[in-house]
Amino acid sequence: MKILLYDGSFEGFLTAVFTAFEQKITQGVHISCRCEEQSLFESLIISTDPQKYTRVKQGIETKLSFALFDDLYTAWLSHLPNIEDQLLSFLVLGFEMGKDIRNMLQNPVVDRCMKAANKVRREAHRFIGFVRFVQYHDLFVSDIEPDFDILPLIAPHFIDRFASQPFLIRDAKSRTALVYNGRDYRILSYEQSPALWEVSPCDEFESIFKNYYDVMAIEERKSKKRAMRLMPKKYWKNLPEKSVRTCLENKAKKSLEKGSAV
Amino acid sequence: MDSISRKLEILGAAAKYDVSCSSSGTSRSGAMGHIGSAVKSGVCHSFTEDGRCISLLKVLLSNACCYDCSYCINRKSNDIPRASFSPEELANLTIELYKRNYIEGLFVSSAVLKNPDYTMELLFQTLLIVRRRYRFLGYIHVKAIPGCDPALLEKLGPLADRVSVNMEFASSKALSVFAGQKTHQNILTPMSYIKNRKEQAQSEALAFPSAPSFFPAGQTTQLMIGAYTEKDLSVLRLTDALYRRMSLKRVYYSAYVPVVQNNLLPAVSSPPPLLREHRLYQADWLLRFYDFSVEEIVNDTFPNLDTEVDPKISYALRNPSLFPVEINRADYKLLLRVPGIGVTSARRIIAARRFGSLNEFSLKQMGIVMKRAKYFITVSGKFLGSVHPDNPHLKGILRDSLPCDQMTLSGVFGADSLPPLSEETLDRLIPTSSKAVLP
Repeated sequence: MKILLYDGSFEGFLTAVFTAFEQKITQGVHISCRCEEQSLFESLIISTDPQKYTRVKQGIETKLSFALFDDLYTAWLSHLPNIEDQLLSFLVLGFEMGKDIRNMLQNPVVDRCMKAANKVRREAHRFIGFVRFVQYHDLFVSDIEPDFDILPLIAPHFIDRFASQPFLIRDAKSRTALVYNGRDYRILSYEQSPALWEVSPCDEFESIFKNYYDVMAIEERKSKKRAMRLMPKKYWKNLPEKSVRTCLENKAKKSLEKGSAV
Repeated sequence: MDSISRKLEILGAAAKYDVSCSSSGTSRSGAMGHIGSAVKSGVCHSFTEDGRCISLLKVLLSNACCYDCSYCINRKSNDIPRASFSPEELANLTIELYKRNYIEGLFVSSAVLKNPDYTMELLFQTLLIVRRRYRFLGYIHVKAIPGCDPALLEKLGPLADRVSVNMEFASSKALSVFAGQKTHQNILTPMSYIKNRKEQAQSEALAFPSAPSFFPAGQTTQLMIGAYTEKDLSVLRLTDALYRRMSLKRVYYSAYVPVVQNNLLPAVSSPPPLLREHRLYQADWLLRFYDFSVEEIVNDTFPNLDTEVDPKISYALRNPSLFPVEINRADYKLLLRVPGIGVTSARRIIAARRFGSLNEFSLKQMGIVMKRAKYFITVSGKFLGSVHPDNPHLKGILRDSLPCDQMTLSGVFGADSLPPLSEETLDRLIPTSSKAVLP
């Protein structure tokens, strides 16, 4: 079993794919991120090569389809266990059978890859609604904690919507942040820019919205089960309407405690 | 900010019975120097504890109504706190919430202040500030007040995405009993004006691409369900007529929630007919996406939707000769008739069939609900159900297990509440009106 270790980036992953095809080892190979595994088996370190990445990308887009490349990227963002191997098999199958492979949901590899891509897309769509900003001087700051790495997918939406307004979205799970200054954007890891994570601003609109949220429900129609399915608890941390106390109330409580401790 | 928050609590609570809250239908990119965009599919920013999507800031501009409709919490004779936003206050609140991504836009309705035209003018002022001063490109849904002058609709058309005016009841008689100041005439007139004006705007846009839009996301309406014992047949026939003749985007159903005590209406303690509302939405889906005609869902011999099974199963059980269908050969239209096969599953079947025959396992993977579908299909000739489609026991097998919070007694309301008005009683109350709502 040959093992290819890449650096964790999508460009690195496609470089590993290139290597697998080049060395004709597309069967029985395991592709994994260097960050996770230290292997006892024979492993090859893949150094990310932009040219190889471009060749694979263009190869897929021209010989298969743009949609298939998008499925591949989106499914990769799920970082589900062994997704890299599934995606390699998916590509092998694709080059054999053509771009309509996307519809062959009877095939278990296709099914797993398409389902992974759909999971990521669904979460990205939900977060377009669940991202909440707080004003900090002239910057709008948001904290999120999604299951999958969705920042690259939601970035275009918020940049288009907020146009000249600078904003920052911090993903606590992948420890990356999307920064937009009104003109360009970057996605930076915590290590690259820890200063972005220092502020924890509060905003009076959190309580305004929370009060509005509380009056909106129609008592006679309440259904905890349905509400939970649509807005799972895992997302509640960053939704002011679901918190017991708003950010401002928490800060007030903390300063009271500090005052009394002294 | 405290007074704004207080006003928002009153005016948000007052607007919650208008169930429409979609932000879908328009697609609009953002632009430098502006704020906002519109997403074609709409976005849910939150979900209430009764499971409804919160997409727009849904408020009344004011709840100080001069009408006295018997079912309405904001009616003039009801003793509740009254509040009003000024157009500036509401516009500012909308933008601040939008910038923080709490909402996709604004849904603004209002109680009738002085008269319909005066109210519409205030709504117009609000929209003008949001669009022009704040350069807002997000979604706006505005209500049209029944009886307003078309000139005001003309002013609002380029500023809002969607407009709605509520039909309230399927029967004109019911409307005159419960809301004497509204008539179907002054509801249908603006609706028809908007429909015609939109068609004009669409053909203008073809010739002149930069022509101003006119309610680009179309119009919708709402019907209350269960304030009196209307037949589902009346509701669905009206729905179908509105879709076809008024080009409505959606008809919403709102289970009547008794909020005021009145001799003619169900008592305040009685539960809203949620199950019936659910069945009507299922029927509405069949009309819009599954190519059913109204008469196939309900008709003179079968005027009310089955409470025990959904309308699609009900149709299949009443038309057993159409089934079972062969999954590897049936066309799209026929696949849509099978209980357990939805629009997405039917599309997937058609797409996957090109690569080979489908078997039971692949059907499950594609999202077909085999628990229901197996009684109505064959897979390469093999029938997998335990009984055939014409078996009288099949309904019992397929019957929904109704969750407790949706259960309503067969008489629709609780035993100790006043019985709601029947269509016959309405006939007696107003003997001279014509029967049909739309000709």
